[in-house]
Amino acid sequence: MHRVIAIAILVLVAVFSSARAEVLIGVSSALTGRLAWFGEQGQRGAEMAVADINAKGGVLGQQMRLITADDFCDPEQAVAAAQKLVGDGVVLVVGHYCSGASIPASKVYEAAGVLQISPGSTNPLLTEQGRANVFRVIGRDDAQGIVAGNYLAENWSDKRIAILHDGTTYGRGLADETRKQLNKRGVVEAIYEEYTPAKNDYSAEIASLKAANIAVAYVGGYHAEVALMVRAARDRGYTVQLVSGDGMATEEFALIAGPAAEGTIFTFPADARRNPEAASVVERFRAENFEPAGYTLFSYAAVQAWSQAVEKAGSLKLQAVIASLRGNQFDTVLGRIDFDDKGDLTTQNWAWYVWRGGEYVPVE
Amino acid sequence: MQTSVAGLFRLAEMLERLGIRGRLLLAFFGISALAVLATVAALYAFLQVGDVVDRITTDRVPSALASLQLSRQAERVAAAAPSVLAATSRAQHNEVSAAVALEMSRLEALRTDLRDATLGTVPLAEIEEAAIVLRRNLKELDSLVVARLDVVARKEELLNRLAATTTGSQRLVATGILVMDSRLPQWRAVAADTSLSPDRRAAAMADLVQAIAAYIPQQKAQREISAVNDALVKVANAPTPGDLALILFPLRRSLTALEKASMEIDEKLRTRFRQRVDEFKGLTDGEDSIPKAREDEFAVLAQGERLLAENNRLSRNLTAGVDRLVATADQEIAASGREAALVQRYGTAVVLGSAFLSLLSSVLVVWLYVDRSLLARLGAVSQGMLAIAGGDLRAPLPAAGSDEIGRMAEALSLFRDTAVEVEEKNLRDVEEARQRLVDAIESISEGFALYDREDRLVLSNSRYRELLYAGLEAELTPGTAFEEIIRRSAERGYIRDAEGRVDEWVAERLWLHRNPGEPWVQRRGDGRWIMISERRISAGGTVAVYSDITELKQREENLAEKSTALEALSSKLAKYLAPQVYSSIFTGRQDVRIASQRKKLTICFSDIAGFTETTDKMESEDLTQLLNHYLTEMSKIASDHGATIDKYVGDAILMFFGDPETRGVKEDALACVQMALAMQKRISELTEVWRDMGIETPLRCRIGIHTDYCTVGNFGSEDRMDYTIIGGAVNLASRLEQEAAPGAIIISYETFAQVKDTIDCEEMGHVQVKGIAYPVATYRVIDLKANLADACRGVRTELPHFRLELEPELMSADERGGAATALRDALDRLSHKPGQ
Repeated sequence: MHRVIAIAILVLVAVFSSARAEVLIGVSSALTGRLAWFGEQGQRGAEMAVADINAKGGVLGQQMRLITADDFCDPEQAVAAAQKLVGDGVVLVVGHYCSGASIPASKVYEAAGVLQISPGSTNPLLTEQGRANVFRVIGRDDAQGIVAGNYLAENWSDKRIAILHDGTTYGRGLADETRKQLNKRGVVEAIYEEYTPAKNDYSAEIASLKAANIAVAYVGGYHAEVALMVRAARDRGYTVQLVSGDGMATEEFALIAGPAAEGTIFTFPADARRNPEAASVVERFRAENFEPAGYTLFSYAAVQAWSQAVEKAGSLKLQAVIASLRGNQFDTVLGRIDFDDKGDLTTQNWAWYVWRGGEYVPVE
Repeated sequence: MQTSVAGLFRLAEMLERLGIRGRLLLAFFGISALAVLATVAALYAFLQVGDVVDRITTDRVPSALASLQLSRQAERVAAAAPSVLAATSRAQHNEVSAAVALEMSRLEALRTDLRDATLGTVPLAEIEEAAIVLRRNLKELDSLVVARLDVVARKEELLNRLAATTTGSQRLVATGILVMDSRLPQWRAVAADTSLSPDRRAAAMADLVQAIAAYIPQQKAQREISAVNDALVKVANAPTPGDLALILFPLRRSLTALEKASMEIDEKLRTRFRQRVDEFKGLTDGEDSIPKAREDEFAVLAQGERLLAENNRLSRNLTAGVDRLVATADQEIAASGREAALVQRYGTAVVLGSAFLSLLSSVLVVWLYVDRSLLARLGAVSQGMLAIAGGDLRAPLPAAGSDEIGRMAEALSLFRDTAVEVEEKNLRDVEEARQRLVDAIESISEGFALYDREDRLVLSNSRYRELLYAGLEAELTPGTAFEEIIRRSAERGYIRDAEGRVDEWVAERLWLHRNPGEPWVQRRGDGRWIMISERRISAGGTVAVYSDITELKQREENLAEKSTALEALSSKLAKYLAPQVYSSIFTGRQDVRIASQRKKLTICFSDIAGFTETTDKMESEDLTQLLNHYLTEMSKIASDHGATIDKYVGDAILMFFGDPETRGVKEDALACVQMALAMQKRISELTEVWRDMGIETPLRCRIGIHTDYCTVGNFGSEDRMDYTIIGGAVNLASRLEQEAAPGAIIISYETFAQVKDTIDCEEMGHVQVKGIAYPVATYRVIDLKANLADACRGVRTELPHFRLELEPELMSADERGGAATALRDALDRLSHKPGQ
């Protein structure tokens, strides 16, 4: 009799422990502070991807669970967030958003054997460090800078151009790549300057641009500062053309800049919301009153690519998943994607967008 | 009475007839019978004890042990319940729950075992009932913990949602606040700038009012979001249900305020903001709210406390039941122990009684019979035997008798008679052997002495006494210590070595005596030599043999004297001979007899040019000294190079290489030329010395060398011989010497041919020698090639069809011109290809 009981207990324990097994996935981004809107994009994209995949049975028959860590887009905070996620036992981190956070965090993940897929960090250095565990589903600033430099040279070679950056890994990196391409095309900027981010008032900077008779300003930085600049310019009737990069892709830009947002242009990868593969996902986001702009679908795609790689590898082991990510193509909301040996996308498609009526639309 | 007395007598007679063997057997049978009786009794007692112990071990002890185990298990199960409740995670709960179930199942198993082991005497029913109820209680506790964990997990999930909602709603209002912040400096500037037109300022003020109107609801909303968030967090940790109700009131008020504020939010964000407010509402009220989750938790906790109390009671019941079981088992064990002790006591009494009887009968048999009629007589026989063994052959013996002991006494007296006879015969034999030994050692011509283990004199012959200790014979009695003997002889001056150092010598001599080895010789005071040979013998003593070897010693000394005289003579003789000749004669390699042989030798003749003129004016002593000095120096060089010095003729020296030892013709020739060069060099060095001695003109030496076959050997009469060389070659060497300029060395072609590879020479032309039909080619030795600088050295090449010998140093300008022309011509010819 007692043997039967013992066996029954063992079976129960076994069933419980297997049913309880779940795969932990980390999301780290700026969930509060000035870049919180980007953080929300990343988090909601990953949340919906996890929910969708779990509904279809999870990965390798196991359910995924999402853990978030706020990095404030700060290099030191990013390392702390990465250590927290590693400590919780995640196998994948979707993040970080800022290049300045992704790069220091990648060292922590490599040491712990955790895979990192960034949905928004564009600085080339991220994948140039030779860390096998690092991938990204977005283009690189050396390509983005060429597109931006060419555009400036083709449209405003006869105007006075200023190049500004906020001194962050992303902002300075993008501004320098753009400037390099612009100079290569034979056009020299009139001003090259650094500005301090996270201020509330940029009227002094705008006043000096106006005094220097600048017609076009290329800004390597994030949306809030650009919005405050354009607002300050329009308030004093100064019609300088502001041009920036992918750090502008949030509706908060228009909310801060107000009507002044009209006409500001920036580069961003091809708008994934228009992909037929993304249609149902976009529809569900909108039903929740959330516009899946910016990096939302990139974050969704990062989880998709990883789950498909795991299924193809048949294992959650880091080396197997890395090999699978490098060796296969993945059908995602971004379309069909694949990675080179550095962890970058093999194809990049930068395009131009302009702010019209509170949202950004492709430049015709 | 008479019959019984008669019967006893008959019995005594019968016993008498049985003899000792029969009577002893009878006695032992009696003792053994009693011992067997005692053993049987003991066996019976042990079997009884064994039965009782078996009963205890098979029946009562297992059930008692099982009861004890059951009691321990029951305590363990009772202690498990709190650990189930303490689980904080699903995994931990599974682990603890499995462990408790395992303990429980073990309890069941023990219970079943106990029921099988006992025969219904143990009160088990009570325990069984307690265990069933306890198991039900544990199951309830387990499911309660599962429920509690679910509630806690749900609460955690809700708190995460609250955090997400709070962050999301804060994000929505943060934008407006940022815009407001960015515009403040502008308004400040307008307010401060008095130069602006009133219209512009009024417009700016209107703008400001509008902005503030839009800003205030946002700020209010932000405050209320924080309030709602704080209240919900407090709800999640409310200590009692009463606190819960207290917090809910302000929470609902904040929610209403937040809803009102949402109406005034920027319309672009309003929908999303309202969504967030709805989420807050969901978290506050309804099935999926935080207060509900906390209430469920309270309910589960209350249920847990109730079940735990019940568990305590049930555990106590179970433990009490088991305790009673153990008490029963204890009583049974005590009863078994008493039974076992009783049986043991009986057994012990029986064993002790039979052992006592057996002992008593043994004592009687031994005392009455063995001791009185056997041991007393055996003792007398044994005393007689001991006395005989101790040498007392006259001791009294017991009388003979009819039984075994009587016969033994008879045999003993026979034995004694025989022993007396044997002893007398042995004494005669020993005396005879001793006399023979004394005669033998007396008859040998050497002195003989034997010392015992303690180095005391045992035996010595008369030769020993007269040889070593004449006049001391009286003191050499057997038993005198060796040390005493030698010390006495040393003190009286019998020993030459011991004079003045008696103690030291005695110690040395004792050491030699105790560590005997090779025979050695001792010098006696009267001049005689004694050879002493000592040897250890197996019994531990020492045998010493002394021989007089004085004559032998004297002959040896005579021989040594002659030998020394001969050695002195031979070393004087050696100076008149070449060292090689001397050594080959004295080592016996060459016989001293008239004999000669032909050999190829290199002969060297040296002479001082104009010696007579130079030394004409010198005194005879100075001349002798100069000549000896010169010859000694030259001879030394010659010996160093291995030359055989044939003879000195005044200032001339004749030397040769190749006999009695040769290194080969070529090597001999080379050694000769090298020696000549060394001599010339030494003479030029000595010139300085001689100048100091008063010889104005320096002595110059001429040397001639020739290599050829010569006859070498001993020439002369049987009485006087000379080891020398003869032949035309000697004359030729002498002639070459005369041809040489002072200070030069002239060699013949034959020598040149042997040394040309190593020695640089200059051709001198031919000389006519008496006794030789053809003119002889001569060469002047320059130096060792190795000593010459490259430039000075001639060019020599020899190939098939080509030969070149060039001595540029020796050529005049014309000769050089001629040679150059010839070489150029040769070069031209060589550069043309054959056949062109």
